[in-house]
Amino acid sequence: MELIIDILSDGFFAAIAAIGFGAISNVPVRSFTGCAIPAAIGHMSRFVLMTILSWNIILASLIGAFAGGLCAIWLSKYYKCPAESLSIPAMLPMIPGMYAYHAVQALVLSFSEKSEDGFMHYFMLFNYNAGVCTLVMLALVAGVLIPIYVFNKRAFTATRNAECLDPSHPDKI
Amino acid sequence: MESTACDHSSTHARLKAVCAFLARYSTTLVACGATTQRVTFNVVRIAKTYDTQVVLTILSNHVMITVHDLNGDHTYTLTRRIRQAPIDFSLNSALSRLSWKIADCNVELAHAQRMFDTLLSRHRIKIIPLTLMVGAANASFCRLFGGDLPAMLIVFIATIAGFWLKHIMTSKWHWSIYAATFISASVAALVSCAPMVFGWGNTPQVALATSVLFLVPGVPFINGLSDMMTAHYTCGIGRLFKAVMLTVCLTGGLMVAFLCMDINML
Repeated sequence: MELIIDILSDGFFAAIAAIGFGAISNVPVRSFTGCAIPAAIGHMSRFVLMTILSWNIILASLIGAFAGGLCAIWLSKYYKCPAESLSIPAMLPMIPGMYAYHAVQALVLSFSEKSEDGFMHYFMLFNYNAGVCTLVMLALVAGVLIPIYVFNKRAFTATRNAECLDPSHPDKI
Repeated sequence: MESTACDHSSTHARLKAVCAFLARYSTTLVACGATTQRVTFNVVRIAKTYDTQVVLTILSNHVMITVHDLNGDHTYTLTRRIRQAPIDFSLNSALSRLSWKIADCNVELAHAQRMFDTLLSRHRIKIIPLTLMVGAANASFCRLFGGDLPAMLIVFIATIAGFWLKHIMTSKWHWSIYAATFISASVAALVSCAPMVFGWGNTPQVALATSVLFLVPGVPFINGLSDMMTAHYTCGIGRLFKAVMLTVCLTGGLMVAFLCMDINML
């Protein structure tokens, strides 16, 4: 039961983060739920893979981003907006912030170390954290872009609206 | 002889009008964060509706567009600067819908231009609710990394301070985005050092690490890689480089806070 609550709370906070980051990019207000759902699905998938199946963060991020990206493609038709405008804000909660932070910290410390051993220790930590951070970012990008290229037609016709001009509102899109 | 000259003149005027509209449309779409593939698809779709063909070159700061008639007898070329504007997915969606509407309903050029102008006058989310939403988003981000309640609270405050300052520096003072990112990151990181300095909560390092993540340029990173995958290397490299520069500024701001507060958490 505790695990289920953890998974659901993970999805909930990921959804709030996606809405807030989507608002920075001026996602249409009616599409906020369209950002929240892929974010929750993606983050919950990654959480389950990492905590229950003990996958590493890189592979788990790839699968999580792919799940979120697929969900965004499916939802884009409903919200009549490009899939990437839903999936990109949805991926932002999966950015490996702690690894980036540790990488910066290790870099600063490596240059403030006097001894060679100390320098090598912090420089190794910098390489590890920066490497994981970069690979997770690439996994997120790949996870978002693969569904767009696989379901190319759906992704690029999502904004098509069958209704033609409304004579009472001729400038309405 | 006179009628041929008149035909040429009307064809030229038509191509010029279509080209000018497509140049405005494409530069606006690139500026609001669309991928080059989407820009190309939409522009080609509109050009076909007006019985023209189009060749589009998207660079990091300019768009070069050549429109020619179906026989290839007449061409018109324009180069237009891409306006530097914040990412706007709302406008991106509306412009994509406009391209389908023009194609499916054969909208006349003058009417299409009017619809385009109407779209440009749309408003963004107001700054106060936006700042609060970004603060809540970053506080949730902190929770996702295992931060406790005091850490979430301080991240909320730090994000509001950093985001508000960035807004003032870019919108009111018209500072460079790089300087604004560097200063905002420093301020947000310094504010989020409070739990570490005063011993609030059990996860002060999570607060510090997540306080600057609202500045991560996720959209240019993903768009840049997407452009590279569709062989638009010039635009892709330009976008990626911008994202890297912003990340360097963000990291620099975080480093300043580390050095000011003499923090060692490893």
